[in-house]
Amino acid sequence: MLKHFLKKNWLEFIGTPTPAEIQLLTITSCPQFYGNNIILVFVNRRATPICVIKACRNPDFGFKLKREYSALRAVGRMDAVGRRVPKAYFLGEYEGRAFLIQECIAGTSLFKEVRRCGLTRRTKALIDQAVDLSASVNGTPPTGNKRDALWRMESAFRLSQYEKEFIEAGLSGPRLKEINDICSIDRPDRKSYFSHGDYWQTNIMVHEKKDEIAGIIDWEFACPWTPFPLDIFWFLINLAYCLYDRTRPGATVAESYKWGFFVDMVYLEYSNSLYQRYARQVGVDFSLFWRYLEATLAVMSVRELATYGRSTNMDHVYIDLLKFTMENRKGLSLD
Amino acid sequence: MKTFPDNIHELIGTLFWGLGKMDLRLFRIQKGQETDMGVAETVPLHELTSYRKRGDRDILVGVEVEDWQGQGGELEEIFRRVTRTAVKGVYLVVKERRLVDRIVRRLQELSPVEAEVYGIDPDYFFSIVPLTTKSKRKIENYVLNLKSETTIRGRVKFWVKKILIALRFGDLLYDGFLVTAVPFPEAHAEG
Repeated sequence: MLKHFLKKNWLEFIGTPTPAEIQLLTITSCPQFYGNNIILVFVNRRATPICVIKACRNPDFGFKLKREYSALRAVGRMDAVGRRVPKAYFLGEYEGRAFLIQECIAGTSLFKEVRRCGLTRRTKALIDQAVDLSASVNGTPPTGNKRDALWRMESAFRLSQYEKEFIEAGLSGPRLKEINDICSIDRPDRKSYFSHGDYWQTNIMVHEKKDEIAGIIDWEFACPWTPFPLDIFWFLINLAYCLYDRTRPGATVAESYKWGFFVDMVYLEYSNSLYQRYARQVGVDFSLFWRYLEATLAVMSVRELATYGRSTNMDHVYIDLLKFTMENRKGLSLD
Repeated sequence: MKTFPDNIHELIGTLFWGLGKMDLRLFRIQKGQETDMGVAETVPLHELTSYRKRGDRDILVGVEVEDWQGQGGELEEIFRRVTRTAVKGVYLVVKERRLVDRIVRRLQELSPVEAEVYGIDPDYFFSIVPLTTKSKRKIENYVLNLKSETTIRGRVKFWVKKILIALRFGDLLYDGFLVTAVPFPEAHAEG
């Protein structure tokens, strides 16, 4: 049984003495074929898990866990952020399927906190911390073995490979070329960013007893050479989602995006202030807000296609939002 | 079983990691034609449906129990059908809590096994929660806190569940139960 398998190999996996009692809580929030089974490991009557095992459901998607392991090791070495990422204990394979054992960060997600409370002094302080952490990660050149999975080519930035999808959606011409240029990874003169890749509020854990960010989890999409500041924009897109969903439960990502960036000028100004906070720390151009927002939508669309094919339909959602943004942002100024 | 996702068997299979390569052989016990109890040994009350079969590798036996009287020899019949191959482990997915203890006793009568019981919670995070532990309430509270409810109805549901857990009625939270069992020597097999 898995329990006995863990006990037998505990010292090798975790590096600490084997606990007397182990209990396993198996959960799955993503039942699709590309998802992982999550096993939370409780020991010796603790109320929170000591570690989590991510077990890849489909051998074809093991690369995500390998990349996450590599990212956790790289970010774990960063001074400002290192203590806020889970320790990566062990990466292995069982019956051809990858599994990763990592530390479990206790706490509640920032998504839950913001959705529950809205924008209060406390949640705004937490959001500021999350932005600052993102700036620390993005602005730090990563170190590590360049042969690790982390450094493997991220196909989501190869927009030209999916040009057909964009053209079919009615996007073409100079605007698409502009986005292509922003996403280009073949420019050695351009700054690159170490990005988390999926930096949204569900992956940011808040300490249970203190008003601080406890940790950042789920580094499967980490990329050491992102050509533009993807993380902050993905964060802002999803911040709109958790705020809008609070007042209108069941709202879609598309609805909340349009509300946040085109209807509610208060949110638009707030998100711009967060971007400026981030930009000052990382040294990016304030004036590129809209272009980076569009590039983020383009990359997320291509990522869905490249990773999951057409099984999710989210690629269409993001392309539609990209088109909407291009058509409607004229006249909106953040200066 | 209709309320559970298609990949429940794959998820349960993860709990059996460490026992080596196995094929899954699935069975279902469901209510057959009603008859008088009579002599239960000669008039089976229930049908068995075996709907997946592979070669002769070691196997993990999975059983979906829709209805079970526990006297008709269903488990013995299942094991009779698979005796040519080594059964490394068995699990049963059961709808009703009242059947769980009977099933565990029956398994232990058939062979010395290490058995554990889990609750199946198909709510927002589909969870398989360990119940054979003194940390049961702590783990149940942890699972409950994973979910996020902002509507009034959702919050009322949350607090009702919290009270059920505190009063040791946590079993009412589950849509089904899982019994896992491995023969005693296998429980500590080489991983």
